[in-house]
Amino acid sequence: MHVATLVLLKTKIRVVAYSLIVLVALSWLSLIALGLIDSILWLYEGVLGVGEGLVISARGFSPLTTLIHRSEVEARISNISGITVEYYLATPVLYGDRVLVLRSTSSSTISGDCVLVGGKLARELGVRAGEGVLVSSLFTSEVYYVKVCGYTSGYVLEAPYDLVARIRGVGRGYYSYAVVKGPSSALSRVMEALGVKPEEYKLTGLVVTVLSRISSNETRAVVYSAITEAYIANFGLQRDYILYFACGVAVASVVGSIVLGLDNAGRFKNTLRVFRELGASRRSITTSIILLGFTTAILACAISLIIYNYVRVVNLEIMGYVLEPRAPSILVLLVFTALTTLYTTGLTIGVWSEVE
Amino acid sequence: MLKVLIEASKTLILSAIRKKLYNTILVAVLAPVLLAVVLFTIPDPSSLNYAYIDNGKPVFLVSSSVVSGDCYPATAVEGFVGNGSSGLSAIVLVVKAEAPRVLSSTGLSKQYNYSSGVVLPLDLYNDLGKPSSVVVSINGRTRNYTVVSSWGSNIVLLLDSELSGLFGEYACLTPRGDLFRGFLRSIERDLLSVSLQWMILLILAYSVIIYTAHRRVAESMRLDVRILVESGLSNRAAKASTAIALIILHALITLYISALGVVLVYTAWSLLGYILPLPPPTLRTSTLWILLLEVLLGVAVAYPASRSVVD
Repeated sequence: MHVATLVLLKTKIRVVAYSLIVLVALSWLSLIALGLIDSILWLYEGVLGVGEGLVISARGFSPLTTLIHRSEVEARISNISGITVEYYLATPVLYGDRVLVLRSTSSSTISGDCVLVGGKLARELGVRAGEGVLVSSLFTSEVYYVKVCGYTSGYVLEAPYDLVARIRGVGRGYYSYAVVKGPSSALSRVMEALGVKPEEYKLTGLVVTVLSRISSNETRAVVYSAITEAYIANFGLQRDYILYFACGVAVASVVGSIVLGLDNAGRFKNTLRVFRELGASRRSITTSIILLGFTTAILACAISLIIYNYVRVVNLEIMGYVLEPRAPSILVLLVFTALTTLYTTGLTIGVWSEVE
Repeated sequence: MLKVLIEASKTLILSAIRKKLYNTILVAVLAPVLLAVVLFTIPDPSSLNYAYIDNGKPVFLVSSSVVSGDCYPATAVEGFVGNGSSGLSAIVLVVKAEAPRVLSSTGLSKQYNYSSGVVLPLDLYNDLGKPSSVVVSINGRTRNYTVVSSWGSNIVLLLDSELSGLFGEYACLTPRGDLFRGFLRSIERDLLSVSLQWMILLILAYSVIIYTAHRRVAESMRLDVRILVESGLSNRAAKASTAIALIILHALITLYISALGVVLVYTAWSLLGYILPLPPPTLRTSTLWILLLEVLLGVAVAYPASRSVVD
């Protein structure tokens, strides 16, 4: 059987090579679609630069508009040892009519009206260190002067807490979110202190606890696996629905591989008829074709995955921030399964209709 | 000649339909057409409900161009603000506008009737001993201005309709709703732009598959074409009528799938509407351009695909 596959491969190498190229293109485009749609689910993580830890935030429109009070968080978790807590205040500001993110920094290198600008953002805005810019607050409706004192990473503006609080229009002690870091045993205690059963969640990577006030001194905590997920849920958009949509687009984009399979079977027709004349059974011919189709599709998937990881042609840029495409391995597997199945099905149907 | 071509094409189309050859083209065209319809019907931001946006106070913003809302010529300069005994250098935002108009819109003062005035940062206002008037020096010119009020900003706002000079920027009082709509429009633009790039790549990749499908259909029609040639149709006319039949089939299937896509999107929206507060999908003209591109692709591949039908 494998001899028949090798003979087919040797005699029809051009057909196989051409199919491989088309399958690589389809698989790569499918992975791009998957990666781009999934990257929307990590928008705030990218903008705010939060990668791991337990994030404590409050319910609201976005993490850039909600507020938590430091004393309220500390009252619950100050007696837990082995953790470090970083508090951040972030707010949207307008530069002209363009929305930028201004975030507080604990860096002692800047003070007063100084801000650090992300390198790429500075190039886009055309601002340099030493220059002053006017930004407007969406909360106070007022316009502020800030001086660019240096550069930072990311696509944000960073400023001392007092300046961010002034622009945000809040008093001292208010923050947008807190990031708690420490061993998982300590994070379990933090979650317990916030009123969540820690055994229900994996305490690795990123965990987000959103506090919503249910009375003047009582809050309810809801846990999510990502910051963006927590906030888009307010609009009724569940993470799962977005992933289903991503899967739908990714699988639909490889549907054409069935036509390619049908066409390939037609091109193998004469060789397969010779096999039949030589006494090969229809079943063994089908099996060798499936083996060839399977190998071609798997190879196409592997090549497309390599290209996807190293070549960025289509980027999703929201408000100037380039989202890093992500493709969860289970969904990648789904795309590859769809491609392999459809292509092999096309081949099989073709062989059954072409070979008597 | 034209009549012969039409008749031959009609015969080939009917034969293709009878043999159900359109299925191959349907599968080949399905993904690019359906995905174009689905991706380009994302809800329009103008269809969203903005009722929850606080539209109370417009946002004061400085831009190099006119933004929505009331805009006035402005410039930001470093100046000196004093009250005779003491003074400080500060950033002064000079706005060429009638003071009462700007002050009432921003909520800084409702009863101020003079044409000019300054609004001081709260800390500067306190440092200067809450003066009723200050001396402002900018670009070598010094003038006395009435202090209207103080604000939380760190810049001095100077309003004067009689000032002349070079105003390179605009100070705009933009309603929050407009900014929010602009923000959503910008996200919509970003999403549609990336969708378009991806769609073009997908259509390019599918051009090979569509060519394959057309050739497969053309090869299945070989017998019908031979009968037509034997009936007196020239080889050239046979190729042309095969290409026309393929183009018509391709265009009809594109139309059918796009209609199916629209029905699918609206059905999904109405079903999901029971569990999610989703805004309605929006049909855009860009979808039509992509569909046209898809039909043109069919036109481009039809003739090369039909070459092999006549040997």
